[in-house]
Amino acid sequence: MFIFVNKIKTMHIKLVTKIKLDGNLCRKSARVLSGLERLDLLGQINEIIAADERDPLSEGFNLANKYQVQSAPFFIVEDDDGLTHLYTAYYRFMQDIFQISVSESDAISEIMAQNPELDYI
Amino acid sequence: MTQVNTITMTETDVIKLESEYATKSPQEILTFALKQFDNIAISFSGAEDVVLIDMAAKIKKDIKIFSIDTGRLHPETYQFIDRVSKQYRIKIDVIFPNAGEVEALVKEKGLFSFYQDGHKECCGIRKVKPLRRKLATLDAWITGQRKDQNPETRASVPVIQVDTAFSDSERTLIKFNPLSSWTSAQVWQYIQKNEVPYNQLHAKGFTSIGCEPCTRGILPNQHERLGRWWWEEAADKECGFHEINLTQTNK
Repeated sequence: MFIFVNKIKTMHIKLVTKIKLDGNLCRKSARVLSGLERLDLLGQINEIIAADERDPLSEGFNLANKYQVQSAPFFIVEDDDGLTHLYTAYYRFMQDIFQISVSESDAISEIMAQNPELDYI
Repeated sequence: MTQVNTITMTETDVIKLESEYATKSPQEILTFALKQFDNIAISFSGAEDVVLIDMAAKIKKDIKIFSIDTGRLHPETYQFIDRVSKQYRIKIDVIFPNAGEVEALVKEKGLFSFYQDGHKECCGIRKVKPLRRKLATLDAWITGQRKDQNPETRASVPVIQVDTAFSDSERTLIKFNPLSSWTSAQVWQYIQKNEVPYNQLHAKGFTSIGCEPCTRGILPNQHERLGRWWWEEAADKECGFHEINLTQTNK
């Protein structure tokens, strides 16, 4: 874990969440934030950017549009080589960046949420 | 002896190919896919994606096909899978969910938990997990997914893509959606013109066919999404970046 924390110091991590019209986070954004907090990893996220439904011009929507992402939350990781990696799946982000595996059921649930077209397989 | 093609496609290659093949016919996309990959299979749902099998069988012998038996399909679908296998003289690899996981779900929540808890949990166990297991053995797969099946997913069905859902850090899985740009009407024109067999449920008003408890017939001109998980309505949409939001940011 210590080796890993040293490694991510050279990364810049943005988390894009969604805020609904009622001012609350969408369900998955809330779940991911709470998961990161529980694992004491929230401090490793450099920026938390909102796509706020009350402000359609908010930066989160710009980023969603730029990266063609369909749903929140998602992560943009810029590494020290200047490369940008996009993670739309929380479980993949956790595996690649924090080397933490989530349960298969959680991974499947995430895959289905991020890929609604799988309903038609 | 079959020569095995080992293909490594980068994301950049795929983006280039997607742009090149986006306007090509399903047959051209299939021809490319089957030529590029030996370890490739068609996913057959037992519905109108049978057109892929008809097209592929005309392009190449010994195509690989798999189908997921969730355990809850209609009798007509089982009969249809069997008929397709016999008519095209192909072996369809029928894959199944993990019995222990299905048993645990049913023990805990009963046989119809999806009407209360939504379909995702049941679909995850009965469909997506076995799919993931199967895809771990392939380099590429072919689906019958179309943009017009669900307005929510229309932006996410490119003809060729890196399948980020099922790739991992050691392995890139490529996904082909040759029917992406076809409409339901085009699929049915092909079925009729080529006398392709079809699932008898279509004759009973079913447009989109899935598991028996989660599928129903619809009226003419209703969107096929209304025939699946109709009780869920707008649930699960709250995290989406809807088109209106994304469009407004472009102004």
